[in-house]
Amino acid sequence: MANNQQELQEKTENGLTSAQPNKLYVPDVDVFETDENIVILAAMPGVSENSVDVTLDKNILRIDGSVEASHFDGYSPAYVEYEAGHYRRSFTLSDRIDRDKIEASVHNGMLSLTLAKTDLPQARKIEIQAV
Amino acid sequence: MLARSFYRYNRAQAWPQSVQSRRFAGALATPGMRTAPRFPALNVWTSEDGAIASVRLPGVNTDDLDISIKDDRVTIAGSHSPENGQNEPNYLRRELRYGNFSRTFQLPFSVGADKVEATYENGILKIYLPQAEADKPRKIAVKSA
Repeated sequence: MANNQQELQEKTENGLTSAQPNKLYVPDVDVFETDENIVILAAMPGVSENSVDVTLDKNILRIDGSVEASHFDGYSPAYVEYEAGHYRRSFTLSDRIDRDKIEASVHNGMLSLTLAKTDLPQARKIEIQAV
Repeated sequence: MLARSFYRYNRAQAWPQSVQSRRFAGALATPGMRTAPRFPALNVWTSEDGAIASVRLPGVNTDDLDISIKDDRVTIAGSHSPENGQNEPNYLRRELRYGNFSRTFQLPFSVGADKVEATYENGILKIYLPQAEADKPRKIAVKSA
């Protein structure tokens, strides 16, 4: 245990954390419900349609966006408020979401996910067979 | 820890008197800070010829953006309205901010306002701010008598 902690500390001091190219951000989202859909709007500035992934694993919907760090030839950073980083956030879907009807689009750094609502699965009565 | 956050606080106060070398000011945007993050978040690169400002502004219409320059001061103003297509949708979660914003920063040189260019791509506004010709240092030739 102590060894592990020491190791971790050494790694941090050696700047190993900076070997990870970028930070990981949790994007801010708005979620709202319409008659047919649930819509998720996620602010992911710097992300284009080619650099965003939406994956559905069982009932976990995950969004991943990657951003390249800016570089301008001949210019050096003078004032930095935000660092380039990747985006990741997961949502747990309820039974009322149709898993086959999820649409995603990216516009001006905003990811829009439209999740179609579906009726709850009907309760089913199981017949008891007499032996 | 207290000393560290106090340092951040001071740094936040120092802005926007001038653009100085603060590579690690990104810490300003981390949670636990004592001042609210300024919106929109801004990065500035500089060179001998001028500066480039990169502003995080996701989901804004370029028609609603206004950039104005006076000497060494640059102001970015605009409004951000929700794209929900409804007047009052049934919100389950609200984290995005909407409304009017304005931010002014000062550069260490006068900007050649007629040569400023701005692009908006993937929610990032980039403004190219060349130094005004009149503001550049001039070389004076020394004549021998």
